[in-house]
Amino acid sequence: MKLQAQNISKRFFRQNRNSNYFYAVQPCDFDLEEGALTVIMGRSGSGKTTFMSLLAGLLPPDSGGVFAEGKNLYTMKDKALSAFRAAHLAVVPQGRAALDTLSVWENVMLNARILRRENEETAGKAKELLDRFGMTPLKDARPRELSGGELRRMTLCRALVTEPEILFCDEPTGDLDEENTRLVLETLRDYAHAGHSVLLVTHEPEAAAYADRLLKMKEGLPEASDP
Amino acid sequence: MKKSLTLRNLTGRPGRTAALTLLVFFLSLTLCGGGLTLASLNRGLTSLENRLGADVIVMPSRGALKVDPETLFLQGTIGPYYMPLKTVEKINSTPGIARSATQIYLSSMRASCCSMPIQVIGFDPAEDFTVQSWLKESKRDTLRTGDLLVGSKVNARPGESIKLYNVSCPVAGQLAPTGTGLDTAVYCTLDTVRTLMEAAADLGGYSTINGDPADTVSAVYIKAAEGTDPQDVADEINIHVRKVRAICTRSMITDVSDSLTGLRGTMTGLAGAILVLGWLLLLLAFMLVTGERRREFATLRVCGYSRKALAGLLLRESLVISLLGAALGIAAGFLLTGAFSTALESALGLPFLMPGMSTKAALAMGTLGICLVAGPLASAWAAGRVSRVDTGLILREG
Repeated sequence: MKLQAQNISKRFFRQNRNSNYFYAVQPCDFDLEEGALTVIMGRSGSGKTTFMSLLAGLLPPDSGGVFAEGKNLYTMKDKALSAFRAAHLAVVPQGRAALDTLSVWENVMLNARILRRENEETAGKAKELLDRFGMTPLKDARPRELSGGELRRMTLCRALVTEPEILFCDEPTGDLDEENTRLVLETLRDYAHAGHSVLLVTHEPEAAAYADRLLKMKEGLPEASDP
Repeated sequence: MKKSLTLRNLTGRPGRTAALTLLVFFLSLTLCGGGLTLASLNRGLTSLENRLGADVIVMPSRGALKVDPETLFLQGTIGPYYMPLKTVEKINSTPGIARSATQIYLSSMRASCCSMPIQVIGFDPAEDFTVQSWLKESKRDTLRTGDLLVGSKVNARPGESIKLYNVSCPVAGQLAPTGTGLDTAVYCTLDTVRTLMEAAADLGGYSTINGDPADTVSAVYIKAAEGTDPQDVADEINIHVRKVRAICTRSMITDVSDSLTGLRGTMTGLAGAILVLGWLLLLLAFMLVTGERRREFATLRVCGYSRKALAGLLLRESLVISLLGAALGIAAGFLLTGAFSTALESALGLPFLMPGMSTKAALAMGTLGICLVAGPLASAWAAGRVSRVDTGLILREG
């Protein structure tokens, strides 16, 4: 599925000498391509997370729109947008994104549960992902018992279980060691090459080597860069 | 995931669930316990009105001895006071009297001659118009000479006997509770009480008028004739008959009713204040909990939960908490009010009679209804607040 952003921008309140607002994302167009791993790099505070949230339908833009299958995500009703997000998108957010009252296995199966796809196929897929990321011994643990890196891998497993057409990852390698960083980046590249759209937001320099398309975020504008 | 997410969230955070449940519990306990106490006092007053039956009560009053009928009806304490039959004749000759009935009071002793210290009330079934209706309510139509009917708080069952001044009296039945001091007394015919008085006199425990129990009366109950103000009858007796005190029961009921009205106002005000404060506390608690769970809610939104589904999850959680807290509070309210009913009765100095099942059920349902609205209402506000925040903003916080 192709995702297109047209003239999207987002500004936040911040008082300075000239204005009461600053642009986290300046008005811009953007296409998220199918079958490619798109990597957006940039310094902290450059607007990467805001840009990803705008594309994922999680933060209404101040201008423009985000289109998928000819529909603007932000003109949809919340129920329809949520259903669209559950069916077609998956997001690996930055920071902690787990339900502490559920086990690791239940967290991984959460998307499948919301989509009412808790069947043998998804369970098998979940087992395979937990195995790949070395999380099988922790499947009955609670998220609060996990390290930052383990939490990150659990969130990635959850995002991949339902095989979404579009995958957004915000700093998925943030707390990972070298070996796991490589494993995650390889997984994302392979997933993109299997025909999915993947957007990776990171400041991990190693990610550039895996990118099919590399962009650098500068003062709220994504600019093309050589992979 | 076998259990629903609602139950997983509640059981997965037992401390948080217990704290919120405790708040609803106290709210429910206050409402149910307060409501039950007020209903008991109301029923006690109605019962007192029914039990008095008479418009005017006349009792002896000599020198320092000031007989107070409220002491008899509210605390069940009877003094050894008597008047001769000729006084009764003078009382009965007062204009405006439709009916009158006499009663004789006797107290047993805390000694080996008596099973227990108890108040004995003798009445004449032929002329009585106050105790009879009670007997009918208690499904007792007749009372044989020698038999006793015991009040609901007397520790004796039908078929057993109570020894009074070495006279063994069979218990023929137990009367329905009234919530007044009358529940601690036993009832018998005038012949029976006179026999007991003779036995008491033989043991040196009592002195009757002229040593003749047949010439002894403790109180006269008067029904005023239609169109006559009972207060006029009482005033007439107080003016023209010496060594007695006539009291209009209406004023006694009014006194009790006034006390009850004051108490009702105070308790309603307190319950209202506690309800508002409790709800505000609940709102604050839900707001704090919701604030603490922002990341959790953002995760659910990212996974495809709609605002409505998220609000539904929070409402279901608060509904379970409210149901649990309310049920526990109602149970505790009934248990505590029941357990401390005697203490409440003596502390308040008012007739106290637990309401019937229908009132109790209405009270429980009302409390449950209020708690089931108050809890989700508090969480709905918090849920509305959290669902309005864009998920992207929460994720941006890191």
